[in-house]
Amino acid sequence: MKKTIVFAAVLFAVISLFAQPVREENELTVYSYDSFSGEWGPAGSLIPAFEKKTGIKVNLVGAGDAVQMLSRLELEGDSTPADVVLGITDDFAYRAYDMLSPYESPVLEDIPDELEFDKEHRLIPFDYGAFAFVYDSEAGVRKPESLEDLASPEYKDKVILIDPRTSSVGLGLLYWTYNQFGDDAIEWWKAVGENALTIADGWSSAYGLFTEGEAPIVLSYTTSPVYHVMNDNTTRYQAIIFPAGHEATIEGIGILKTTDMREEAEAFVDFILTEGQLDIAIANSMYPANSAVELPDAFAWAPKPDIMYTSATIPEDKRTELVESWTEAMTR
Amino acid sequence: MPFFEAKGIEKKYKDFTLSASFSIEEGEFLSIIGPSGSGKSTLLSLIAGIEDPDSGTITIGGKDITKERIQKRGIAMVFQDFSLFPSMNTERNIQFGMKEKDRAKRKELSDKLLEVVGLKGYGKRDVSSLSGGEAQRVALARAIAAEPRIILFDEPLSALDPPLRKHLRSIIRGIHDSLGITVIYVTHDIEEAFAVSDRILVMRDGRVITVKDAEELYRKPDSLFTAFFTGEGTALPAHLAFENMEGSIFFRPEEAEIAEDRLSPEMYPRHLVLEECKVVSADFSGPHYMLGLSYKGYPVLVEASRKPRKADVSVKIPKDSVLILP
Amino acid sequence: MRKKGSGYYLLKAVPAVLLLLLLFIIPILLIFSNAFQDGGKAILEVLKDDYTYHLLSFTLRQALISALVSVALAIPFSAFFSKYAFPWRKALLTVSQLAFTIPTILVVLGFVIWYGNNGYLNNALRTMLGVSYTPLPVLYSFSAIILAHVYLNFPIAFALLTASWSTLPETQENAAYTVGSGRLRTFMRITLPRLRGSLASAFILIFLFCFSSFAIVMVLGGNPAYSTLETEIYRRVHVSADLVSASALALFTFAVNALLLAITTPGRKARKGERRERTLKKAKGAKMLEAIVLSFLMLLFLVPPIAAIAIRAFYTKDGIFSLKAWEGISGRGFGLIGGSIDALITSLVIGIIVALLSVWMGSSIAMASAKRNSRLLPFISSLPMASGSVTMGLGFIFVTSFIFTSLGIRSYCLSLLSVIAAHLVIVLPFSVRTITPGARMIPDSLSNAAYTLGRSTGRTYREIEKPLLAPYRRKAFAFSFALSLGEVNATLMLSSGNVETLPVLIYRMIGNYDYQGAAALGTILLAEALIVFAVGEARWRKDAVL
Repeated sequence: MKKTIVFAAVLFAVISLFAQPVREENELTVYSYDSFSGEWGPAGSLIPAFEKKTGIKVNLVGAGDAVQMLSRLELEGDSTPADVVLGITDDFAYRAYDMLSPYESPVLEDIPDELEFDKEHRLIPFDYGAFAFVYDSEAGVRKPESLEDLASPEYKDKVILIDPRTSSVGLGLLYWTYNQFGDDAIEWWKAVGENALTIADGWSSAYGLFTEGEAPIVLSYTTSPVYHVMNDNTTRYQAIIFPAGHEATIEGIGILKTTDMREEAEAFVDFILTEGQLDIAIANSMYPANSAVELPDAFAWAPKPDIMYTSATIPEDKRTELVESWTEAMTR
Repeated sequence: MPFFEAKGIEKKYKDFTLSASFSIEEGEFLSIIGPSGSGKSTLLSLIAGIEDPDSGTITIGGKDITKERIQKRGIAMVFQDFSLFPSMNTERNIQFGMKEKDRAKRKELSDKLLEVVGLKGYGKRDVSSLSGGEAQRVALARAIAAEPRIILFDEPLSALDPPLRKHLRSIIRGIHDSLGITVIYVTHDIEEAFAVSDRILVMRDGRVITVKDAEELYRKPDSLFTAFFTGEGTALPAHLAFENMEGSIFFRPEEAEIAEDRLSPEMYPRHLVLEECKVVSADFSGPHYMLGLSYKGYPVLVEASRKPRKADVSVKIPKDSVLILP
Repeated sequence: MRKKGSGYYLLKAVPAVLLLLLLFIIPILLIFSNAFQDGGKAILEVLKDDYTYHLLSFTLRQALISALVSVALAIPFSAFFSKYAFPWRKALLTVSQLAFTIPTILVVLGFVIWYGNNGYLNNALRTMLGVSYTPLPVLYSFSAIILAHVYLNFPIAFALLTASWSTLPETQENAAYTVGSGRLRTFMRITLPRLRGSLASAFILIFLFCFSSFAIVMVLGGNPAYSTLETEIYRRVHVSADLVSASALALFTFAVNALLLAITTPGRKARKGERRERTLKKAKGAKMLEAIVLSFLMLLFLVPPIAAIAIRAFYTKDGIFSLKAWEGISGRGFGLIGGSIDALITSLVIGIIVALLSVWMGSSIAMASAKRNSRLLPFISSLPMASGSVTMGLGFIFVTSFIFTSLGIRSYCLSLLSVIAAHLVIVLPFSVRTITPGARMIPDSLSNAAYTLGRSTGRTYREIEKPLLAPYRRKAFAFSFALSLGEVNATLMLSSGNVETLPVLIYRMIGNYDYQGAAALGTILLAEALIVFAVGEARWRKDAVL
């Protein structure tokens, strides 16, 4: 076993040699969900651009998904090393407010009022998306017209839903149905649940089932077809816009109260809200929050709904209660 | 001072207590016998250091080794199940405990030991390919190779065939004699113990009953237990033979002699005479018959060269062969 | 009774215990302390709630059936594989472990591609039968959950059973036959009791694995009524953000699992194995035919879903051959020379270090528990299995925030170390459970013989005991490596996005709608696992039977 230990030690030594410590003095620490950071996320091109422009070093920490990021901030409390947090969605925003301080960015004037879920500007929207059902136009099913329409018997085993207990997309649909039907939302779920081929644990598996042809209709985003246009060169998969409206999800960026690099943090937020917008929008398949930004042609296949609901309009207690009654109705 | 001494060692278990004291001289061959469960193997474990006694001391050459680590005791052990290391070939097994560091010398030594145990050329053999007898000889060679001060044998032959046992025990005794190693040898086979030992220690219920040389143990056992454990014999209440005497009388079957005519005790003053014995059984064993008699309802065993023709016989035993035991 | 040298092994087990203490036990105790924040009201609520038992009963039911089926299915295969030799035997043993290495999302994908209503199997049947309906609607039902769980866990049962069965000589069985006992009766009365240790080991590993499974249960079950306790804990943590009630439920779940673990942790009555190892018989004639049939059946079950992933990497959904996924991997600037090669190496390095350390720690714990006749050590080291990934994830968040805030250090190296440590905590139960039956079978007299020959405990371990553990250590290595290779949650959580392993990239690609690219990376992952397994087999070949 000595050999093993020596081997491991040598490996560690080699790794440490190549690993440059990320933390330096006077670095701006940014917490983001981990698909943002890493080479594959938008950060790969954004951060160097920002550093080059401002001369401010950024230490980007991928801190899990939005909820894990929040949990971590809550645990760290006042001693958190984070200066900026990026990617808190509107539905969880209330958990972050205590830790953030408002920032009246000059860019705010380019951001539509209806996106500003936090009027105090502790969290500023940087991108948003809308949930929508995406359908396979070559599968021979009628394009559904509305949420109610999905309960029609012709869609038996043709719909893939996502569970609101384990997925933000599923949760988005639950809020969507509530915003549209009020407390009858649960009835809708019961009816459409009957039609559902499955209620997946998350978007990844749901969309995977959809692209493998298991069912022609799936819950996703209005922007989903963009990928198929850009990469598969097909317009076969289309997002369906319901006239009655769609649920939106808005991602915000905020500055920690505890930061000692306020100026640099503000510069970073402004950068994300201006030059960073396009990269983020494309990488996240979201619409940029800054209305001044022009999108590539493929986004023509990501129709913007006319009516958008946000979960911010639903009181926190009601949201918890909704999921509980959903659980009660669907899983007993 | 004895070479090896176990003084008042004691080990308590839930339903068994071992307590023993005994000693051996250097170069002596001591066997430990006793019925199963009498604590023979436990005693070996305590000596080897596989288990620690609750109290008492063990000394070798005057040095207290009771607290000494198992590795430092200089006591090698040969196990009933051979315990050869499956990860090594025969040669490597033998070399395992050698103190010699030089490779060539180790090889030379293991070759020599293989020859001594009669397994010349077996060095590269896989231990799983060895027969029981071969395996135990390798185990013996391995124990010797470690140059121990004492070798312990824990029923080393009981997993082997009887003819092989006789052969191996003579090898063990031969090696003992030529190398002068001190040996403690546990067995449940009396004949084996008689054949190889200088002295024999008898254990019963975790205690040492007696330590004697083989012949004395057989001829002059000091308890009925030892007497019957070491061989066959007849025990009768003493008062049947001698008036007003307490205890039992004991004699071996080969000491007694039958007569088909009536014997009068007066004619044989130096013998004990048992009259009117009924012949119950007669088992032929080759050299002689073992007769089962009944004397006043008590069983009597007598060796005879012929089968008696009469059903009633007399038995006479030289008085100096009759033991009086408590 | 404690045996000689137990102190040495206890000392060797210290690093493992420290690791568990720091990375698992302390964080999890702190998390559970949340459950008592309101004076135990949350716990009382969990205990009084019908819904808790509703979830528990379903969770137990699916885990029990999955584990029973996996183990039962493994018995006939292990019986044959531990008795007969045939040329491709080892290759098959290796292939059987592959499914273990791929992250859940790809397993789901592979299942859908193969068994799906629109998958290869059903499409082929449709063409053959000339029908338009789905001939074999296996997915989206309770049976699909069991099928996927058995698919994932059959290799555990198969490997553990084959390993210990190969060390049982057949003398007792033959003795039973001679007194007129039939094959079935002999198997039930003689063989099965002798296999009890590894049967229990395999059963509990699989049971706990399925107990905390939720992605498979939800997607493939097709009905939200198929909900496990883990789903509910996830909801309470991530959606309701109610750490108190989440902790209470997590504590309840943990208690149930810990109880099961305690019952099934190998007890004091260690059965000493007869040391004469079984030599495999050459399969000939009818037995050769049997070998072919069994191998074919096993491959038929194990290979298609993973093969489907590899096929998907080269073909679009419409069946058109396309290397786009591979160009995609190489075309993004981080390319075959960049990102995926980096990720490949990172995964490999992490996997090998984790597997080596896990075998080392697992052996120490197994030996210490065998020498001290202790159930405590294997029990403690198995606890991470009882906690479920959501709870463990909470623990990791706790640990990370401690490392970052209190220690104030952050580097790639540290991220890597944390990931390795987390993987170790996750794989250690497997390693310990795999090696313990082997450690308990080492006869005392063998170790004592070495001690009396003047050899130290350490040398005795290295030269005598370790070689006897080799087949078990090899299994443990394979499991640990495979688990580490496919691990994604803890990696994401502890690496701060710094450490990109192949599964992390797979999730990223799926997030970018690139399922074909994910399949391509999955194929690379499988190839990597196959190579490591093959090299591992070759290195260990000298140690005979398995």
